[in-house]
Amino acid sequence: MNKIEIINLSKYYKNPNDLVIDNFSFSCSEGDFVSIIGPSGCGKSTLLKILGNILEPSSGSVLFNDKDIPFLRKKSSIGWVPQFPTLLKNRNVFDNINLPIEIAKKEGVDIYNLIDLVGLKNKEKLYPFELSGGMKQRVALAQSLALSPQLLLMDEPFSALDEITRESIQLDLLNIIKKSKTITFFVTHSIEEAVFLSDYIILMTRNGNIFKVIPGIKKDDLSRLRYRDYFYENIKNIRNEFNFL
Amino acid sequence: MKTKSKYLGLIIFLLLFLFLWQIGEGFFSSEMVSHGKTSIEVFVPTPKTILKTIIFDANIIFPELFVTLYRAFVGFLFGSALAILFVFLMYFSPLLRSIVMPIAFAINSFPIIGFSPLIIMIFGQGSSLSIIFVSALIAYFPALVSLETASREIRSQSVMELMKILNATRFQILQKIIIPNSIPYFFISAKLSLPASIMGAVIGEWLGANSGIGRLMIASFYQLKPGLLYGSLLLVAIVSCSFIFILNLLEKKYFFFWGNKD
Repeated sequence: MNKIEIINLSKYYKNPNDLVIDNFSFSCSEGDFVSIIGPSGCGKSTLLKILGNILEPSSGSVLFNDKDIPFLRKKSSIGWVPQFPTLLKNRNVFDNINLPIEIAKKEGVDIYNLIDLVGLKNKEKLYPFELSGGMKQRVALAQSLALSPQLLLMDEPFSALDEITRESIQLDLLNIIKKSKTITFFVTHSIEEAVFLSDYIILMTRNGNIFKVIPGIKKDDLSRLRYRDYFYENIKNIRNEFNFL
Repeated sequence: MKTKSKYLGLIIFLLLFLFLWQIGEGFFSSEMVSHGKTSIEVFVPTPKTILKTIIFDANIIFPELFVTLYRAFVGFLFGSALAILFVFLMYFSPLLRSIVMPIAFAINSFPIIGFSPLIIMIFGQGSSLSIIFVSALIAYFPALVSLETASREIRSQSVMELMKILNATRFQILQKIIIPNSIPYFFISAKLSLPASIMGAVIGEWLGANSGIGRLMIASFYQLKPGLLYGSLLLVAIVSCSFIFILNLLEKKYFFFWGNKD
């Protein structure tokens, strides 16, 4: 079973006394969905970029199955969904999803299956300028899943979407993740989104001290989850945690 | 419908302008002749005279125009190709960029017309090579600056984070991201540098050429043939505008996915 371990991770940019992430440790395993929430500028995206090996940590390490994370990147086993979809304007839906496969020079990936999976059937020939914000995010999601990543990193992917589209994509995302067994780290500003999606929620503060990791709630019936009292109870608890900062 | 009405407005404005020019000049010319002065038509021909000259002297004007266009086009291709080559090299070598860009800006700050006699001295009076060189020099700069800017801007976008995560090589980034994303910038630069290279060829021909529309303009100036001078000028302007129009059409037809509406 795949597992990821973050061990005593710290990160600063210029001033060693100005830590963005301060001695953070955490571990989770295959199929886990981990949300990272906190105020703007608290280092959520920095943590995600360290996990994706886009940034180097100042100290500490990130291990995937006891190996350093660059190993996973070199294997093209990390999926990335940014805040604003980085679709190439000159490529249609099919070709955008196919981009990681071209770069990794892999064969045998069924792009049409991915297109179906994210709910874009018969839209494969459309160009980004013909897509809505939600559809673009679905393409970015399919693109990130194209290489069947073992680690999926999502940086506020639904922040620019309206609530109805966002809720519909959230449901689809959980169904897709459940099938893929990937470990997912998901940065968000929305406590509700974090509670709905996650198995673990990492709460971050602005001074770099990640102060709490809390377990998510039981998800027996996703479509009814938002109508459960304990769902809102959980949101209230997280709000209270932030008020103690 | 909106575009059609926009062009209709432009056409009506041009027709009105030409009409006022035609009747205004007739009035002023007859006034000047009646006061014993030279008719204004000697210096500024009427639109009707210009049109007649273009039609009746077509056998003189058009061959010269084609010579100029040939030189301008070769100059444009050469200048653009050189710019693309340098942008490629600068992508792989930041050191080269720090050398090439300041020199390119320095060359561009010199008036090209001042360089032209020097170039003509090097390549020889009447040589097509000198005209092509002037044209290429003018086309080179906008292409270099816009493509180099494109290359840097694309590299600063979040798509590069995706490329890093995907472990893409520099060549893959160039091939799959930078080159396709530079195309709109290339069109912008071509719309600037193609008319500029026509202008460069005309300037080069003014200073020393045995053929070309620039030489014809100088000759008609000395021979007091304003109709020929204005006709040549008008045709150069029409051709320059036509190139921009063709580039716009190509961009809309083959690169529609950039979503440029206008």
